[in-house]
Order: sequence, then C-alpha cells, then structure tokens
Amino acid sequence: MYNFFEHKKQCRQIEQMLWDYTAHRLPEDIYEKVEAHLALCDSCQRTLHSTRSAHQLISAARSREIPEPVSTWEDLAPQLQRFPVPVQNSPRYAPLVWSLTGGVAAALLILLAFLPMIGALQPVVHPVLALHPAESKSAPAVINKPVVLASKTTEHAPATHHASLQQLPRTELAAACRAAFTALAASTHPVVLTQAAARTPLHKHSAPAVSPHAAPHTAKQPRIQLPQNSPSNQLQYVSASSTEPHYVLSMLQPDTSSEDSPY
Amino acid sequence: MEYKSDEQRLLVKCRRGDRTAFEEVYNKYTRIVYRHAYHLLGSGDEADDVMQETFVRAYRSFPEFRGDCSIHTWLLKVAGNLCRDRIKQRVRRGDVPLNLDTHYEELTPDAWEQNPAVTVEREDMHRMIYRVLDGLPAAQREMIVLRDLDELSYQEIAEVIGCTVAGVKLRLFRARKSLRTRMEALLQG
Repeated sequence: MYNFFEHKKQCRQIEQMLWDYTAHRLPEDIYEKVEAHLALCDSCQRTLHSTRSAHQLISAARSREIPEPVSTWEDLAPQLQRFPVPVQNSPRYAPLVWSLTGGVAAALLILLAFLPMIGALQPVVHPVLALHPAESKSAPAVINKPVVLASKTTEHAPATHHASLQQLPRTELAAACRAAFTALAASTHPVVLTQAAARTPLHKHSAPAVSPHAAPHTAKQPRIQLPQNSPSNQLQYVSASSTEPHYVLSMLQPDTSSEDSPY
Repeated sequence: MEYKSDEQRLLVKCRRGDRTAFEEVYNKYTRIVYRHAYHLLGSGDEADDVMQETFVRAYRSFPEFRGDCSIHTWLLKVAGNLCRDRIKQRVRRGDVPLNLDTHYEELTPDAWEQNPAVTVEREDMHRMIYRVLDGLPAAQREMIVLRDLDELSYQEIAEVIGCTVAGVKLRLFRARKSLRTRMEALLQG
C-alpha cells in the first residue's frame, strides 16, 4: 500500500545521495536502491536532472586549467625581511603563561590598591615591649610574643598597637593586664577601651575589674567602652580621636568558662 | 634531530623562523593556496594577492601554530579567512567581481545536459561557474570549493572549517542544494 509520508521520507534520503549517485561514488547495493526509487519517483528524477547539471558544471570547473600565479617566492621574500625572525614561544603553554602573568599582575594591582586599607585594619604588632618601667617586670616574661601591651611611642606611633595575652596563666594574666593598664593610663593620649572578637561576653568577667585599671579618668579623659554581648576575646584600647595614635590592648582569654576572672 | 615526518620537520623549522624551510612550504603549497583563492574569488589577480598575504601571515604566525591540523589545511584556513574578508568588502562596495555579461539566456537545461563541453565555450564556462558560485553565501561557496574543487576529504574540511565531519556533510548537502537551485534559476533566465 502506498504511504505518502514514507515515500517523502525516502525522497529526502535519496536526495542526499544524488550527488554521489551522479559521481558514481555509491556502494553497489545503495546505488541499486536509488535507481529503484528514481524509476518510480518523478520528483526525484527532476532533482537528479538538476543535480547532474550542477555536477557537470563543477566537474568542468575542476578539470579546467586555471592561470598560473604571477607572484613568486622572490616577490614574497623581501616582504618577509620586514618582519623579525619569529620567536618561538611554547605555543601549547602560551595561553597559560599569559593568563598566569595577567593574574599575578591583577593581584598585585589589587594589593597595591587595598594596601592602605589593610594596613589600617591589621594591628601593627611591635616586638618591643614599651611598658611602663615600674610594671614591666612581670608582664613581658609571661606574655606570648610578639606582644605589645602598650606603647609609649606617642607622636609617631603606628595606628594600632596590639597586645596578645594568649595562653597566659590566670594569675599572671591579671598582673599583665594591670601592667598594661597602668602603662595606658600613663599615656598622654586619651584611650578608649573597646572589645572585639571575644568568645565570651566580656562583661561577665572583665567589665567590673577592668574599669578601675583601664579607665583612669585622668585629665586626658580616657573613656572606657565595653560593648555587651560582643563575640570577642580581645580588649582593645584605641584613641578617642581618629587623628591621634591608637593604643590597643588585646587579651585572648584562655579559659572563659571559669567564674573567677583575672579581672 | 629525528623527525617523524617531513611535515613535522617543516613545522619545527618554520616555528624557529627558518626561512629555507618556509621557502619549502611556499613551494609545496603555493599552487594549492592560489587555486583555493582563485575558486573562491574567481579572479587571478585577487587570488594572487591573497596567496601572498596568506604566506606573509603564515610566516608571522608559525610560532603560534600549534600543529592541531596539517600545514595544508591551516594555510587553506588562513586563505579562506582572507577571501571571506575580500568578499565582504566587495559586497560592502557593491562591486561586481567578474565580467558576467554572457548570453546564458540562450542556454537551456537540455542543451546543457546533452553536451556541455560543446555548448559552452571554455571562457563562458568559467563565467558560468563563478556566476553560480558567486550567488551562493560565502560559507556555502567555500564548502563546494573545498570538497568538489580542491578535493579535500571530509576530515580535512572539518579542520579548515572548524566543525565535525557530520557537520561538514550536512553543510555540504545544503551548499549543493543551493548550487542546484541557483543553477536552475540561472538557466531558466
């Protein structure tokens, strides 16, 4: 039974083979199949007719002699002289090398751009202890280095001084803190006690104890600021004025679960 | 140094800027490149320009040539790009590349099929071919030229065009269909 859609499907397949059929490049069995279809299909015969014409035209073009090129190597060679001898890179890795170079350059640029900001954020840790002379006996010996409990380098001091009291025995921590606070109290700059990054709310342990030492309400009017419920384990002294040098004391509490605070 | 093939020897030397090796490449492929450009552009002068430009570019670009394909197909790729640029320029300027004032009105499909060699003079044939090819989109023209005139394999065409073998077959089928339609239209006036 004649199936129109099946026939059209066959026509599309045959159409794709007509060029090779014309060129006698089809396998024998397929060639016969195409011939059988062509015998029954007028539409494909018309297509074959035009395919044959196109094929003949192209064959004629292929066999046709084309003119010889006018230019020769002698014409080209002087043009090549203008160019330097090509330098062979490692072509396979060239893209990688370029991307790495670009990446490093970009990273350096970003670093340069943000360097001042990073400098302001990161406390400068000074290896030299510049504590008050009277109180420096106990503190420096037990504090992990690098440590600055407080600094007296006032006028040209870096923006932030950082003191770390990590892993300090509880009893010595108290002494170290007192030493630091005394040093800060003797400072010629007003100070503010702030809290940053504490694991335990500082007010539990430290607020009452720190205040008498850390906030000697001197004529320079230092202020104490102890934020409540701040997730911090550091105490920081910073100057009240942003234009003045900062003094920072940071304390990392070794054991915050204990009730008897060193403060 | 041992080379796997003559192709590899030329490749390595040309990458180093060896001009003698490049001259070898030139002598080996100059006719092929010229023929390709001639079929695409239909003009000897323009084909000559494209051929020279192709080799200048090849000389400069050899250090970056990764050898993913043969020198042959790489040169055809460069030449093809240059030809496409020229065809675009022609279209932009509205140039007619060839003198096509022939008398194809007299030519009927029957006469064509019975004896094309006698029916059309040699020069007329040339004009006819390029009149048909010139009416095709540049990409289709390139497919016909690469397969039916330059006689490249499907794999080689895939390297030149930058697609798969299956893609080449499909594009070629479409290009031949367009060629047939274009020819019918021309012959019917």
